Amino acid sequence: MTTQQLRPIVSVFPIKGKVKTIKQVPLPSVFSAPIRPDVVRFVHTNMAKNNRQAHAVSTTAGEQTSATSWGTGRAVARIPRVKGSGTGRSGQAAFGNMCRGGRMYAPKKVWRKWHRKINTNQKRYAVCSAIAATAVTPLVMSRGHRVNKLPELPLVVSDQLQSLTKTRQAVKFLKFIGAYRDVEKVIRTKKTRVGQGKYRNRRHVLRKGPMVVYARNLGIKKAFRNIPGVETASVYTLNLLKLAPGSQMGRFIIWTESAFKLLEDIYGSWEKPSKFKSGFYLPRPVMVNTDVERIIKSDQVQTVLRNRRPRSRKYGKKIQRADPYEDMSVMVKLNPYYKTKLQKQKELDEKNKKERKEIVDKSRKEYEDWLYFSEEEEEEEEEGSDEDREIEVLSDEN
Amino acid sequence: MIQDDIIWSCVGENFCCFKAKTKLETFCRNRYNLSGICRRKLCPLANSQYATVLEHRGKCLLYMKTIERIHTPNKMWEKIVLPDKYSDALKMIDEKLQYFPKMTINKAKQRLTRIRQYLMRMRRMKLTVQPKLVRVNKKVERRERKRENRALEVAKIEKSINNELVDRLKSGLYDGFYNFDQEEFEQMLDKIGAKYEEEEEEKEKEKEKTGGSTFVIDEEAENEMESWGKTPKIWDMEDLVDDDYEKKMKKLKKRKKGKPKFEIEFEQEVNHQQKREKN
Repeated sequence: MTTQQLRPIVSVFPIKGKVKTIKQVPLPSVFSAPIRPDVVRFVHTNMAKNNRQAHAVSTTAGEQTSATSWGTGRAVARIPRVKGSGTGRSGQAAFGNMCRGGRMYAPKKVWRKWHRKINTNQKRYAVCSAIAATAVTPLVMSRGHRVNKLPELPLVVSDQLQSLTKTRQAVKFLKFIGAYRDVEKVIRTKKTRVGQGKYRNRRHVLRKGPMVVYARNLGIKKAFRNIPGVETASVYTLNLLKLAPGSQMGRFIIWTESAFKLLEDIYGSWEKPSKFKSGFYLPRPVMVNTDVERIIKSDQVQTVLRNRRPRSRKYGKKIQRADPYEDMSVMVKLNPYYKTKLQKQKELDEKNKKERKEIVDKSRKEYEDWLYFSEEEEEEEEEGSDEDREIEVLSDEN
Repeated sequence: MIQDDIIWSCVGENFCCFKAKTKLETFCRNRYNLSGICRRKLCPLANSQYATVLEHRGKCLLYMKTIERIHTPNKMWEKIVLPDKYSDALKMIDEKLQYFPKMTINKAKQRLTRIRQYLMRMRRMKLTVQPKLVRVNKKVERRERKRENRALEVAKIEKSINNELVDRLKSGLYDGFYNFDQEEFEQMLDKIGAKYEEEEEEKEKEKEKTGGSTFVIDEEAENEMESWGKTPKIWDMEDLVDDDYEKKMKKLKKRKKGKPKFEIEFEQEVNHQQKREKN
């Protein structure tokens, strides 16, 4: 029904020998269920609350005094104070959450709502999404699983795996199939827990490794039990908290062939309901084709759209303009009169220069003449006064 | 294509193990990312059609991923060795990534360029001698320095050198080196013994003259004075002998500022050979 079904056939691999397809099995419909991280998150956060144990503060904590307020007029705060004398405790504040040795604000009660009810359909939706996500290689990689060397995802293996009894056999199988790298990661990153959990029986922290899902337990549970990071689960009881740890979809799952086939029966499809969950059909996606970009660019949509309006220059790219004062050609384009203006200015300058030169030459000549004449006059008339001499010179000139 | 958007909504906005967030930028630590930044078009997980250029042992390889191979992780990336020549490599990228988005092609070329640059640099560096950086342990350095100084003081190098030289002098090693008679030298030695007494007398006289202040000359000052042709004040004309050696001996006698006083000590030489012969 959906276009999300990319490949309908999955290869089944043996547990030893050569990594080659021994069989091909159709992909169950669950793997085409819509992948909804929001649903998974909601369901996961609520489901995770369901394994909590009640805890509370003692009901009498901070209340085991007969303290009374001293009232006003004593130059102290009106908080209730411990009665009596002869001890350090007397007169100290009591009962309030701000007081030392007082009761806390809103003391925790055992009857807090620890567990959450989640709609069955929602729970099933989330599980279907999570299972679908385990087949998407990028999602499994993004969760941090080392799946580069796997022959295929989803990884389906022959039913012989269910009959394994020894851990050594199990490890050998994991190495054979290329899944041991994920286990190595778990071993490498085993650490002591940060925080007080370490002395509350939660000493070590481990990563999550591969999960092995089987149909029948013929020893497989014990075989994989002691391998760090590896979990086993029956197909009939797949737990969201294991499928999407931390509400992060894409757990690395190794399916046995029969388990893989059973998925079709357990979760049904859009046409056929589930055999084990009464009245349950696979969730339908809101959008069949979620590639919005592709839809917009498709011919059917583009033909119906109107033409694009021309872009306004105002908010367009900044245009690099040449500086008119640097480049004459640009200036002339903007202001054609500029050239003539320059010319005129030039001519004016030259003219002024010329005139100025004439005046200067004239006055210089006058001065030289005066000098020359005055020298001669000095030789001739030594006794004449300056003023007379000047007048004489001027009159000569005129 | 349909999956890509879903993957991005799971990975881009939420958790991805390759995402490295900083205050300004979000980085992608995925090996196959073209530019190392976490972005929709650059995410190797959220793009089913993707290509990168990676380097392995000096060879540049073009890695290509298509949607058909996503379900087989061990065969997902098609590796193509790029030619050694840069222009040929660019052409090959253009050829192989013909139907890939333009951004991928451009980024791949940029990455190839950058890889080639650092490979060149690596090759160049291998040819030169690289300085090895060694830590400086402040404590150790301080300690060693102090120990060195202490050892120097204890060794008393100058003194031992002095003694060595004097011994050599006495042994007659330098006999042939100086141009004067043995007799004269011995006479000089006797004289020095006498002169030392005389000098003490002179010093007393000086003290009377100058009023207790002693006149000390530096070596430099002496040299200067000699160059001027003046004779130093302290020395009497009587004591001036033509022999240069005498002057030197006298100079050595004068105590200079901060420098150790040179004294010739004479010990009774024990003739071990004679002793042995006797025995």
